[in-house]
Amino acid sequence: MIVNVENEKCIGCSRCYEVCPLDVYTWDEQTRRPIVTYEEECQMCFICQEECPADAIHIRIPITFW
Amino acid sequence: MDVLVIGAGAAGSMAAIKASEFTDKVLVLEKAVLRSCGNLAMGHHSGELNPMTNMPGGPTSEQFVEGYLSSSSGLSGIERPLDKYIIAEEFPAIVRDLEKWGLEIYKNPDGSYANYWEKFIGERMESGVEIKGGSMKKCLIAELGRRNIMVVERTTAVDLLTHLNVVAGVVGLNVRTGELTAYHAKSVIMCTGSSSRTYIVSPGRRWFWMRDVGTNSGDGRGMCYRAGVEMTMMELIRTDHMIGNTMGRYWGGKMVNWKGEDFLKETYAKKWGRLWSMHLKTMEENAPLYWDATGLSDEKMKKRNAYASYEKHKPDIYLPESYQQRGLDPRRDKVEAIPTPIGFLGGADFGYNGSTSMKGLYAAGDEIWMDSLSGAFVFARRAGEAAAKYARQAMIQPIDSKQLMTIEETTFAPSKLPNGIQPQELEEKIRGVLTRYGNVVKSEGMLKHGLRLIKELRDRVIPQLSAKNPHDLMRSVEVRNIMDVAEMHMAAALFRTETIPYGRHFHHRIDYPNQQPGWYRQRVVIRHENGEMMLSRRQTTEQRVPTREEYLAVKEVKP
Repeated sequence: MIVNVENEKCIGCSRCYEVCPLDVYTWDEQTRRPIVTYEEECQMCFICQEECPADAIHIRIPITFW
Repeated sequence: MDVLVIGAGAAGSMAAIKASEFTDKVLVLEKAVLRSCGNLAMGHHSGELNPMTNMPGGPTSEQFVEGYLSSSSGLSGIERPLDKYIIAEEFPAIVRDLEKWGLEIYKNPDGSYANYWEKFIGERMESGVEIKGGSMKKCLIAELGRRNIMVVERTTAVDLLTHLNVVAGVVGLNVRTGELTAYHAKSVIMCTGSSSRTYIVSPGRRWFWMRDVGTNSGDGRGMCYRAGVEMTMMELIRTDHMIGNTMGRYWGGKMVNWKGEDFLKETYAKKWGRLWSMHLKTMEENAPLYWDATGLSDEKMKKRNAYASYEKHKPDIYLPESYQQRGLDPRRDKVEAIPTPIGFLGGADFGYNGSTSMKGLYAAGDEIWMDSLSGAFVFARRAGEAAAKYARQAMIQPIDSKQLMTIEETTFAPSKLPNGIQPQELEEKIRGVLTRYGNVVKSEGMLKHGLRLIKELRDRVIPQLSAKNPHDLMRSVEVRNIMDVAEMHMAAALFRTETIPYGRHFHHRIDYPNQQPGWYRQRVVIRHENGEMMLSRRQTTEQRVPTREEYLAVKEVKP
């Protein structure tokens, strides 16, 4: 996985869903957790990781880009 | 609306802010959200702002343009030097405005710039001030807020509404709800950025991996082209160096070939563009090329780190993250720099006030051939003023219901085909075609074949596009723009039978390896007419430093 969300740490604020410029996330209103729906469209801009107040998101740079 | 701005990046924000000084009816459409839109949000802010001309010790406007023309760009033969003169004259005042809005510039206790510099880069005299780059995006967002300028987020512009070659508004698609809205406006300013989603820059399926923000699918270019607006400079490819498959947001250090030789000296001596030189060096089997920062002083390294800042809300964290995740140390490790196509220079042909060939339609930023933050700001401000002044005297145009219906049908057609071809798949194919047939090295045969493939995709795949949700509808809207841009680039490159090794953007035809006198000062103009792409030539201005009188004649921004 490139976009890793730790659901236990997540506080359900939906900030990641709000800020992602490429609309990678969708939002599950019932569980109040983000769903990584379009991971292949992630640009690895790190904005969601930066903005997450609970430090629950980790973007891993895939080794194909080393 | 009086003024409708498409895109809330650097140019869009600046245009909207300026327009708001003349009218309170300003609206901005943004495909993403303010926080994360445009290249500034990707960290394409710089630790420095230039040119800071006409300051004590620094270059005058004339010297700045002279330096520009005596460097590589002056030999390209396709410049419009007054653009640069206008930037030199008007950018420092914009920097002072930005500072009022919250931009953090390093200052001395007495208020003067702490790190004002002027230096020669090659033969070019430049000057600038050092800033906290991360505060740039923040200050624009803050100022839009203070002026109560409404930004409609998650809304992509789909197509222009026109009436007898006068702009009437734009149709927008909400990419979360799938709702289509017609925005009626007296004037429109196109600020959708570069066409970055045009090549596949890396192996694998990660085709959103690119230098500029991934939302940049050339939407403005596609919309303008389909509406019959004159486009120009589309043959010139934009490249940049990707470092370790990351963008080269990297200052300090030097570029070396695999033997460790600093080949840029040769580049400056021959006045080639730096990126042309990298491209040539790759072909000459000097590859791989490296950015070598191992010898940087502590002070320079500190500056570099400030540029690629870790600080919260300063989003340029990619480079340090990349180093950290890969276990690299810039002090120890040279990193490969790969010259990579990142889009095209050209766009709508524009006047000194940002006007296009369509009445009421303006363009600014990477949408047109600005390719610098200073250029984006200066011409966005001009476009904002011109569009607002135009709106004050213009009548609102009627919306053509037939046109609106056609746009609606085209936009929603993929929703009616649940089992067709996904727009993402088509995009990957178009970008594959450009990467193979329209890459930095071009020839007649390859370009013709590439154009045939695009036509085939247009005829056969567009009617089969499928979208299951608003997100895919957005990608369907984008892929039409990517296709138009790809076709424009290859057609213009085929038309221009010469090679231009100069300037920041080059054009390389292996079948026409030299610059041709017959093409000097000639720009390729593209226009969409009765479903056909028409190509022609137009002469640009003389390649010399403009006179003061020439600037004064365009200084006042007219509608």
